[in-house]
Amino acid sequence: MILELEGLAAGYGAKTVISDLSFAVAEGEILALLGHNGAGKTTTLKTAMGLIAPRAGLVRFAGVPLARVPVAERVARGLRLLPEGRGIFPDLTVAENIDVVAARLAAGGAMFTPEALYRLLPVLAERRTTRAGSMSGGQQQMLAFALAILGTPRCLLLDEPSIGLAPNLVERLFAQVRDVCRAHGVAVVLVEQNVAAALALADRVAIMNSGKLVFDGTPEAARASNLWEHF
Amino acid sequence: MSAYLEIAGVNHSFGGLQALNDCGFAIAEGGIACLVGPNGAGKTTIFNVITGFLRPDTGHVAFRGRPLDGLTPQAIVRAGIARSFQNLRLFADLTACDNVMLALPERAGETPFGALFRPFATARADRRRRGDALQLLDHVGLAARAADRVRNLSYGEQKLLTIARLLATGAELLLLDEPASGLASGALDQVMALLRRLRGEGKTLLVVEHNTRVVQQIADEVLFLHQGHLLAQGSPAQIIADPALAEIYFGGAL
Amino acid sequence: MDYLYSYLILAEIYVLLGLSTNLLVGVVGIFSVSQAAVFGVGAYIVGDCLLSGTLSFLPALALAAVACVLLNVLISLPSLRVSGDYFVVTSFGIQLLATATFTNWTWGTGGANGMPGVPPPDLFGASIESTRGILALTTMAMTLGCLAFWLILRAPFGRKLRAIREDELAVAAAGKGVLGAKVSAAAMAGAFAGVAGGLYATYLSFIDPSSFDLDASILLLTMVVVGGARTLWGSILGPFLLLALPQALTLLAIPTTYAATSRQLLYGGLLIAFALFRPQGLLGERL
Ligand SMILES: Nc1ncnc2c1ncn2[C@@H]1O[C@H](COP(=O)(O)OP(=O)(O)OP(=O)(O)O)[C@@H](O)[C@H]1O
Ligand SMILES: Nc1ncnc2c1ncn2[C@@H]1O[C@H](COP(=O)(O)OP(=O)(O)OP(=O)(O)O)[C@@H](O)[C@H]1O
Ligand SMILES: [Mg+2]
Ligand SMILES: [Mg+2]
Repeated sequence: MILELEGLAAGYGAKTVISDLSFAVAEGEILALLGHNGAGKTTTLKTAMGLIAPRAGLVRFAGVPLARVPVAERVARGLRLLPEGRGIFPDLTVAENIDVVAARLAAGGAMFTPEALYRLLPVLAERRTTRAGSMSGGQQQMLAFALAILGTPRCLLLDEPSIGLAPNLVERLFAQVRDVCRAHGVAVVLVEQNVAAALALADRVAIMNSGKLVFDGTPEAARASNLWEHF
Repeated sequence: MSAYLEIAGVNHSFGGLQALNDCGFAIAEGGIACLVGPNGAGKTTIFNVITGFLRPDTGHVAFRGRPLDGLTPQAIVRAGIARSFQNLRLFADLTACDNVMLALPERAGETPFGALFRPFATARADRRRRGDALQLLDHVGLAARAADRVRNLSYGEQKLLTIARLLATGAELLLLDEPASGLASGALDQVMALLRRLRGEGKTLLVVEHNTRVVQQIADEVLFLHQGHLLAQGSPAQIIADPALAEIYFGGAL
Repeated sequence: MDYLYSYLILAEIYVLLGLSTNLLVGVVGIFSVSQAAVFGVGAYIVGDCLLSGTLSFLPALALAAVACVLLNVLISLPSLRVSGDYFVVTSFGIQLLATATFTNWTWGTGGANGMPGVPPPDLFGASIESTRGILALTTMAMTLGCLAFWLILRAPFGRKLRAIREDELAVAAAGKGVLGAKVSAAAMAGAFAGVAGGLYATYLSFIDPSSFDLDASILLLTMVVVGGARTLWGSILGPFLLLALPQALTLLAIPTTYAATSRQLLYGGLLIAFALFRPQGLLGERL
């Protein structure tokens, strides 16, 4: 198991949003993390990433507890987050966005170099010199995805990557996620509201309801279950 | 008779990039029209043109036969057209309720004079507006979050709030930029029901949406935009049946 | 006792200035670093009117308020066009320009030597000589200012101003005018500063450019940061606290030669500490 959450609890101010949350994802596995709006999916990813301090429980990455590991170090070790609502630098050009991240994370021998990404996502190659913030919503989302996988990711936390993408791109994006995962053994935690697409892609499904994990199993079992009323 | 909303010959380029290319279409009153097309097709840009946020290089927009050229966004809302933003643009430090109240049509107390010299009348009017706002929040299932600051809401909750804020303007033509993405299926059904109910109440909706299931369920008419130009307009079934459009929208081609 | 009165009077005058700065910078987000210049214009106008005997106190104060309304609207105008960061630069220039004028326009301001002998305020023919009388006057002015600030903040107009600070475009998309609201807020902030200036000139009876320079403007911003943005209580607490601190320093028996430096050090340190560790100030929100 590359990423393990054990009895995790987290929240904001006086409010506890997730509690007693445990799940794990293995190398080369895609885990779809589903749940209603406000269930705590984003909070879970942010806590795993170290952006929110857990109130209880622990996060382990490649067997090592992360409690004292700062965010930058987690990123360097290969734990990567595609944040909700686009993590890009809007005032930099597309190429600058990629170079800024590449400078730290994509040294020689990286799994995804800038060139590899431009080949993977030709839209970005065309827009190299465009100011990122002036691109359309969907184009910005593609760039955000590129920044998340740049370098050598070992576990990708993707927070609603399909938002704003036209159907053709959603398909391509998910195909790429699958390739990245299968070919390179990268683990993926995929938060999605596009449930059908997520189930089709995932090896395992975890469902959250009001901060608690209520299901962890195969997509088939998830489809057959009566859990969908949670949404 | 002239169309309800009519866009004719709109061109706009950003630097060397032609975002809108002789874009023209008309929509009728009282239906739900969905604007679809690949990423970067110019959907958000045409919204910006209609609502006065962007002055096109050439072309015209007319609403109920009246040209909107050169009007400010504020004047266009007054004329009856309001829009939501793809990137939400909520007031993160205000409460959900204040976000909605802000968009309710102007009344006394929104001027400094009302605030200073008629404080009681202002407070009374504001209480009434709070009631209206709460009702709108209830329509989108956010009544319980009224007093929460927007930055403390989840993405889906914020998305719902943009719809409530849009409705608060009271505009008769509503332009929604991707209202459904990020919503869980329960909330999505609720929003679709709300959009249909708005149509029933006589509003006209122009909706940008990538979720084909949503488009099929709510659209009376679909407009297909590609490279800044309107390629096709027709019923959802007609558009989906067109293999050329399907290739652009669903195929690998980019 | 006089010592306490003097502290209270100055603090109350600074509360008016704090309200002015908070309204402009905290609420609407027009990041002005030239509020002390407006304060100065109010002070010199009242000083000149009373010294020359052209107007009595209240009309002079009204004239100062009107002039500062116009001035503040005028210098806030660039903020309607240029984005936030650039406005700071514009505003910085305005402050320098004002200081240069105050220092060199000897005929109107007495120049660097200052303007001595400003008569005490008078109300309806009766001159207010006692410190207590002036305290009553400043307390009244401060109370009115606080009331106005509170009424504005709780009204829909206040909500609109806060929204403008966050996203002007979204305010426009909600069908609300941005320009008028910004101008009204700048006007109110100008009136507060003008009245504060008039009270200051008549209370101290001597004014010189050093009270209205860039340091003074930064002190006003520090008051907003320490007290907290966008709340009435923050705008009151900031000035009272920051004016009390140098007094506390004098209790430490620091030689007077160091007093000015140590005050700057203290204010600078506070500004940094709050920005880093308590950006929402003591009783308010993040600037
Ligand atoms: N900064 C915050 N402060 C306080 N409460 C918050 C904050 N962020 C989120 N919340 C609340 O915590 C709960 C979980 O939020 P979270 O963003 O994790 O949900 P989510 O499952 O990602 O939802 P969505 O599908 O809408 O993105 C929600 O009720 C939300 O309102
Ligand atoms: N302010 C701007 N400056 C420069 N180019 C822009 C600007 N706004 C939009 N564009 C370009 O215009 C084209 C159309 O963008 P628009 O945002 O209208 O697309 P869209 O159809 O809304 O796409 P999406 O579905 O991804 O939101 C894009 O190629 C985009 O890069
Ligand atoms: Mg989320
Ligand atoms: Mg768009």
